[in-house]
Amino acid sequence: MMAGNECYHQTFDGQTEQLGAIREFVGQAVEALGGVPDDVFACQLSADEAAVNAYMHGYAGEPGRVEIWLWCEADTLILRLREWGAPFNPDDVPPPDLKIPPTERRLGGAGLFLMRKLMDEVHFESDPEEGKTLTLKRRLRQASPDDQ
Amino acid sequence: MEITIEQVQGKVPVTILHVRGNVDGSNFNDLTEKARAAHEAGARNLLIDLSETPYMSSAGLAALQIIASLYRGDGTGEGEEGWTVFEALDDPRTQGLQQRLKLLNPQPRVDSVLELVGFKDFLPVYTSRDAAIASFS
Repeated sequence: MMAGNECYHQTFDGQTEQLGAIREFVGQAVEALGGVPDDVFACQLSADEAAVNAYMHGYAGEPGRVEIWLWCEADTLILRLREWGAPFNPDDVPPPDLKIPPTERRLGGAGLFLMRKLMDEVHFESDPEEGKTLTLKRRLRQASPDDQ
Repeated sequence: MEITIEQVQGKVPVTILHVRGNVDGSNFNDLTEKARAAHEAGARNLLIDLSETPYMSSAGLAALQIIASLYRGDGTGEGEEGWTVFEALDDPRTQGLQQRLKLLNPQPRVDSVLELVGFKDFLPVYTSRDAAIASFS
């Protein structure tokens, strides 16, 4: 899986107080893998959204474990999160209806929607022993003129 | 994240929540609760200042949804005026109706999130504090 690239891996035990540490870890890893600021933001937000779903819904607010891996294959950055909370399939979550006012929308679902917008591929797998695994892929972007 | 409250007087009293720091799943309830406490204390026109908020996840969006519902036109979250708080900005049906929740100066990453989920079609966003305050009537 590492195929000549560095693979970054860290385990986050706890609850939503881990989100800041998760974003920091993901940001540093994406930068080290050659990501530009847009890649860093896309991966940080996606990891945050996946982790908050795990902590708040999968583990129902009880302390739980989220494991994260990041590596590159050719020009594609891969972000993988694994958790062992309650069964959940992101494919069952409908996207928000952007045409109606937010007050009329149901709460939730925006995180997965953002993840799908910011990443090029989203894959979900569930295994009784290995837990639920979300694998997100993003082709590394070129630096934009606005990037410092 | 820290939130401070400022009261200012425009055409009508306006409450400003200054949000400093990232808004995520660990703290979005703090934002909701500050807005709720202000509403219970009588605030009816709310400006959320995002000048110093570099990052907001969908948890922050959920907070904005809850706050928008709270600041519905009649102040109770019930009744016919309820939908006016977050109605489409270019919808002719809403012309002349007042929006009670507005945002000030969202930073680029936060702005892009608001754009992606379509909030900017419904929620007034200002870059000038004076213009934002003056817009409430």
